[in-house]
Amino acid sequence: MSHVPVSNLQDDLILKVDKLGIRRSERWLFRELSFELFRGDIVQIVGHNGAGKTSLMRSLCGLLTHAEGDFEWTEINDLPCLPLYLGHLAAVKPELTVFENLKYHPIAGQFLGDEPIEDAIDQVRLGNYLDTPTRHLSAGQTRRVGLARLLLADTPCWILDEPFTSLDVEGCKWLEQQIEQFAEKGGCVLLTSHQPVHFEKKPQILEIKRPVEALC
Amino acid sequence: MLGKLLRRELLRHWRCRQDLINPLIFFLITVSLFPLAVTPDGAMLSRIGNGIIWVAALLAAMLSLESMYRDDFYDGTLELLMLQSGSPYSVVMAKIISHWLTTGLPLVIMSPLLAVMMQMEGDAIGALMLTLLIGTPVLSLIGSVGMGLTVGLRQGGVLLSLLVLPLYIPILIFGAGAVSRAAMGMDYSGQLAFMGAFLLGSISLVPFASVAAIKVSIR
Repeated sequence: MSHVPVSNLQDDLILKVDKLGIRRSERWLFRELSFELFRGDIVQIVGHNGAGKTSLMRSLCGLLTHAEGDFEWTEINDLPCLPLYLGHLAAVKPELTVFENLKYHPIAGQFLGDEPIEDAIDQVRLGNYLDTPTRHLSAGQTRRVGLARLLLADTPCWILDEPFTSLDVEGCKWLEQQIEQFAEKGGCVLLTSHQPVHFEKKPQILEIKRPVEALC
Repeated sequence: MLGKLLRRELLRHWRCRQDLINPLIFFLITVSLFPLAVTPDGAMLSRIGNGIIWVAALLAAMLSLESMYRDDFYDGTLELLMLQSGSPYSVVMAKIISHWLTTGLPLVIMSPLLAVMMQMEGDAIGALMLTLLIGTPVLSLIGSVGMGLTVGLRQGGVLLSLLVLPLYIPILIFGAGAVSRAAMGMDYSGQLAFMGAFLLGSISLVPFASVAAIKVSIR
């Protein structure tokens, strides 16, 4: 039931990254990183711990300033497209119920109605926990509440940072399916994962390497 | 957008009501200890009462600032809200309004009770409520900038007071000053006008400063 991304896009290019470089104080995480994201792409970012995978994602979302280069999101209705970012933390409030967590939290720039939210909760198999405060849920279930946002977001791009953490085997399979379906419908997905992922079509790999010079 | 965000904040506060009572109890206890410690003499109390109530209200508001961003910062909600709402300014405004509704407003409502306890006169009580009504939103607004800057720090408490207290002092001076003029039967509209100017100035500038401060903290 994942939303078909907004239709009035002129071309298939979603994101264009041009010679991006990010540094943490004096240390460059990476430089001269260029790539493009098109509709239907699934791109997995790989690199060792601390290579800057999360920094890259946060920078693309506008949470982190980049030191050099530039990137450009495609425009939808004259506004730059707002990707759905799900990070390391589930961003679920323990004192609110499962339903309230989705109802009163903007997802890709809008609030959603009751029906789609109930559907999404059923899909992540938390239908029996609709009115349970999320502090009573397990880590994996809390994660699922966060992932329900994927089903609700009206955006052509998902940015997922380690989305498979604390999910069970079934949950991982479900998420892989969702990602594939989303890409088939014309969305693009940028993800990191330290667990092996299984897609029918092999995802493109984007490797982040540390620049040769140690100091700038 | 703002309405939904505000509902979320108020619902969240309602679910942890006990946290909201803390600053109010602090306010009540601090003020009620003064007659015991200083003097139960009515003339003396009515003279220092305005200052005591204002200082206690200011400290109570500062005590509750932590609740504004801290929890949301540590469970990742703050960054997602700033990002996914499409307008970070509404997020900040919703936080500030809900902070005022849950701490500032109860302080205003409780103040006449304490003023009677401090043997203040009718005019002064009216002035006290009015100055608190204008002054407490300013405390929430300025506090939000300080909290935004220190939310990422482990031990931000002391730094928060150092950042925010100097900015609170003008409000304290004008607020307490207006009440003591009212107690002496003098006109206090000048002080009120200054406080109104502080309020409007901070409403128009604080959202930008807060969003910038939070962006520094969450990166």
